[in-house]
Amino acid sequence: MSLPRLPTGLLPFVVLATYLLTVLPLPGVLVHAKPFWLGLLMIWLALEQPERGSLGVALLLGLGADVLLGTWFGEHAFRLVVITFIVRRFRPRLRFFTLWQQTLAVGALLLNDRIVILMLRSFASATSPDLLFWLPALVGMLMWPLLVIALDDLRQRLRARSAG
Amino acid sequence: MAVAGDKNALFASGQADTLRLILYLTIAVALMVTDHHSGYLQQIRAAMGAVAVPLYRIAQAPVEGARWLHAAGSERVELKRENDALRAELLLAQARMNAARIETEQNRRLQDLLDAGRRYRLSGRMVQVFDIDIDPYRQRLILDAGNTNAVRVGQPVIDAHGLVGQVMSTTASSSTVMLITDPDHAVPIRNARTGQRAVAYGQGRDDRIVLPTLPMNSDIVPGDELLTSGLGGRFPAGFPVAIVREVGVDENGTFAQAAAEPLARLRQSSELLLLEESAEMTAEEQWPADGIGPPYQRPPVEGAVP
Repeated sequence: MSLPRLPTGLLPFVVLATYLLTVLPLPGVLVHAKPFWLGLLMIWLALEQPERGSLGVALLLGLGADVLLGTWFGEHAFRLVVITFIVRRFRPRLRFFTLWQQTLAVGALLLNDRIVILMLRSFASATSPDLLFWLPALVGMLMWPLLVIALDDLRQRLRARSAG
Repeated sequence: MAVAGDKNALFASGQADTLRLILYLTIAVALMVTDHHSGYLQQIRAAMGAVAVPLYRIAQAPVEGARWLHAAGSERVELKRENDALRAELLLAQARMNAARIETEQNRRLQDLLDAGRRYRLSGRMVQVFDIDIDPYRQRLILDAGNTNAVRVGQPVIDAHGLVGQVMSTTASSSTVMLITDPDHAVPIRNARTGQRAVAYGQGRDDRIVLPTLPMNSDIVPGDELLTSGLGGRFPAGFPVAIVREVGVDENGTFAQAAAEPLARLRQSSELLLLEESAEMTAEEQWPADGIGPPYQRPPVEGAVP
């Protein structure tokens, strides 16, 4: 059974929503828990719609995030391209994983992403991360099943509408 | 079972993807290096940043909404407004007091140098901080004012309690502030008790800046207040920066080190003061004709810190 792809018109809104989630202020200690929403979106796109979840899209989305967040131009782009490449490389395998196996794989990807950040920042200045630094990877991993269910549900609805 | 793109993804994409990976990563690295080492990309960033502002505003809407609901839910809306106004006034008043300290100190120095006719005029402007999240490990803030509001790169930013940082980049209607706690930030300071000068560096932590290379015999103890020294010309002299919390020795035992806690409420301020400094000489006609008394000053602009 295949689910319909997200209509082209909807994708910009999904991207916009992801950017919004990225800059949404969170209270208190939750700021340290904010998952890498863009990374999750790119993983999903690369898994489900590889022609849209391409490296070029990752680069552009990343540059957008850099403008939005005032990070170095290219930092988010680098991270997203790395994530997307790994997902695309192992896509055939990842797609046949069960949801919880996939969740663990996503956790590993996000952990790798934190390491990439450390690597990039160590060029500019010595940074020593505390434990909280790794929290977004964990939270991101836990968000993955929810995200998959939400986006699949969105596609189911679209299919029901187009069929009915 | 299969989606249309599957076949391609299974067999053809490997090598092309690797080439693209190398190309894109090179582009990303080149951009980062250029951005880090030169201001070359500043214009591009400024132009594109204008697109980001609406997003900031939307992201802030839930926060504003929650605040509004909170205020509207009570009968104290009026009081709340009054309270807000008073708080803004207090912020200005405290900043004025800080400015007055500079004047006092300047007076003392002027007594030493009678021929000095130079005088700093400080004025400040309240700006809103966008309540959005940047990476908590980056010590940055985004302000709701940009080029069109005459915000300039390098302008010092303070709150009621002390120095916050400086404007790092601007777009048409927003600007990024680098906090004094950013690892890339350094501020020339002076110990208020002893007058010793040093440079304080950020460490990427909210509650800490360090003075890494003090002479071993420095007279510095926890509780000392650090003020801007005004050296380097970027920050006006005499603004409170931090309180010394710890004093120690560095790893090699060659320098004394001190860690200090910033006085500004870096994560809590929703309004900050942008300082404008004019280092004009006092004009000839501003001095009283008989040569006695202070120079005549233009009446201060509303909202300015005289």
